[in-house]
Amino acid sequence: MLQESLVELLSKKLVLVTGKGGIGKSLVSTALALEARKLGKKVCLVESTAHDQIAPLFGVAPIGHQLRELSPGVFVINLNAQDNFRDFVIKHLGFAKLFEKVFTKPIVRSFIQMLPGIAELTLLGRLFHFVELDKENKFDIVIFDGFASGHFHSLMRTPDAVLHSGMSGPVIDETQRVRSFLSDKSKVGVALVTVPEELIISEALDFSQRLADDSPAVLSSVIVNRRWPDIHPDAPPVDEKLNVSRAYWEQQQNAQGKNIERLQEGLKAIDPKLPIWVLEERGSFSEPLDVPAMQAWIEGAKKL
Amino acid sequence: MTQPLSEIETILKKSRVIVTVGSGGVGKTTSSIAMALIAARLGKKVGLLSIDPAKRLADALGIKLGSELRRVNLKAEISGSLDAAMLDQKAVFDEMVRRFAPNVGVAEKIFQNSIYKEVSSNLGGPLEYMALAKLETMLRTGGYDLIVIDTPPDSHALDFLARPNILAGFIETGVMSWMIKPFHLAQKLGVGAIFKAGGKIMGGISSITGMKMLKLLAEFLVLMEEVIIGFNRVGREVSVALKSESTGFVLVSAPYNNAVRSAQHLLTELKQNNYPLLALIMNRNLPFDLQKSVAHYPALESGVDPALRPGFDILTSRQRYAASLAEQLVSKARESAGKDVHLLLLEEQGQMIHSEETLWSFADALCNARSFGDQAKSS
Repeated sequence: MLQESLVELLSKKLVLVTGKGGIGKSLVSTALALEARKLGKKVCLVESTAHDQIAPLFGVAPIGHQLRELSPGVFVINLNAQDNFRDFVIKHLGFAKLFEKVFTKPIVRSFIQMLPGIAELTLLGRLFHFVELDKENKFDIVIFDGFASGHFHSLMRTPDAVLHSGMSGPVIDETQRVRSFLSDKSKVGVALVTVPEELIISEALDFSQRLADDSPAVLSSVIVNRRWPDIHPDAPPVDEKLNVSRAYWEQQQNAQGKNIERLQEGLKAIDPKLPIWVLEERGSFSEPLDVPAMQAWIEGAKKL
Repeated sequence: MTQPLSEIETILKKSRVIVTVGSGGVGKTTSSIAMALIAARLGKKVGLLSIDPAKRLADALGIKLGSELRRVNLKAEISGSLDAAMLDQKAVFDEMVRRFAPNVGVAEKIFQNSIYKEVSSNLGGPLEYMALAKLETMLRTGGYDLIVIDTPPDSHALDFLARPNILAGFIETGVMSWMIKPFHLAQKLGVGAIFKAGGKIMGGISSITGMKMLKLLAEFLVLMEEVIIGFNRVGREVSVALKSESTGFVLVSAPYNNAVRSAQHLLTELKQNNYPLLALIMNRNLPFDLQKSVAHYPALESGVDPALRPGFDILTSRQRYAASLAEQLVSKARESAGKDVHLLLLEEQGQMIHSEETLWSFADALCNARSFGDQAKSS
């Protein structure tokens, strides 16, 4: 059974997952999506990358900007900026005719690419759409396998930047709406994935502070990935060929313990109530993913 | 010293420009710095350009993040030299405006423009343009024997490579003249003229973004005209320089699923652009003695206390997975860059890199890296 707080994360309508590159962010996002499905939810799992990361985890070819059900009840899409812009203008702003007339022209398209923040703004708009406006799919939860921390922070800053940019009209109204949605704690939560390495913990703390300072969406969970299992204190010596391996394990364990303590201390100063979850190191995951194994992994999360 | 050169030294010795590519979290910036240090030790005059690096790495070199090229104080026995620019977005943006704006007055106006303020400090974006411009300065005036360019991580690296073309496309489709001319007029005649000149299209955009935004944007574009044209020229020059024979690419990756996947895409992109790959650095492998040790585990498994197994299982699984990822990537690298491409395997570093000394020890590790073939033989 899942413990209380991780269920709480999955009770949000939108979970924004972030963290440094290469620490298992996509795996955690996908595992959360599969677990949400197990809880009976209809799930939309979103990424926005140059090359699909999630589809290959399900053993399928890249799907791009097309919603596909890759596991029963789990829909996946890789949003791209061009298509987001089209969907944003047509579906949110309701300017279908205008879009056909104006925004399909190549010169306007290349101009749009140059507009600062437009990709970020329309991406947020699309996430909002999947959560609140999509009457056709009616997802219970949307999980965004988000950008790495720095880029994620600018994504969160985009609504305010747009609101202060001097624009007016429908874009501002829509941005206003998206911003107040993002700042609704009961619906939206940021999950920061990290690993217990010195440098990455420092970055995680720095990022958490920046998010607390000026992001409309708030941090609602920190997930520490790749925690090595404990070594039993009375474990007997091993064959000497394995000594190096055991020493490595022991050393990882100790160093990780210290780094996790530092994370706890640091986060206490930012938000003392913030739940911290620890996920076990698994060595590797097979592709296509083993769904029950992924769910068991998430269910094994230990709260600090 | 009369020792034979290591593989990486051989590469650095004969190169004029090295571009490092790779996804985030694989040690790309660290590898770039290490290559620059090694080349300086070989007696070269080296320039290093890093785009949005971690402050920690700039600190380790003893220089500030910013837009300037700064001389790095290396230990006395190093016969070459190292100048490094660790680019910070806003500083570089400001510098480019100063350089390309027709006069100080325009530059000041740009700095005051509210769109500029948002673009230059808040929103992610055209840092790559600026990096290209910096690179052009280094190529043109630096007198460097070797320039090492550390590109931004992930898909941004592809943008960086594609940028000269995107920018050229932007100018050639006439967007600039189409947008700017009416705005020039608009400034003289008032905003109404925009709609006469731009017709329905401008009206369409304004119905979405509002008039004030259009005015600001108009002002911004008019002010930025010279700057953008400057970028464009620079982009082309750099594009030509990058295609010249003396430029080589080094791909850095690590035995993680997403790093390898992104490296495979980068290999494809490099090939499509005819950019030559000199070396693949596979960083962050389990220490070699550990790999050897854990290879004994399956045979000993039944004799191992159950309380000790999980750690050995993890190591075995990690090692097998890493080996299969490395194999995949190496075969793709050979397929796209030929048999002569250097394939270097590096152990993960136990220590954090925060000082010149730790950078040097990483540089030494790079010089002592195993090549992929040797590793296959020894295991």
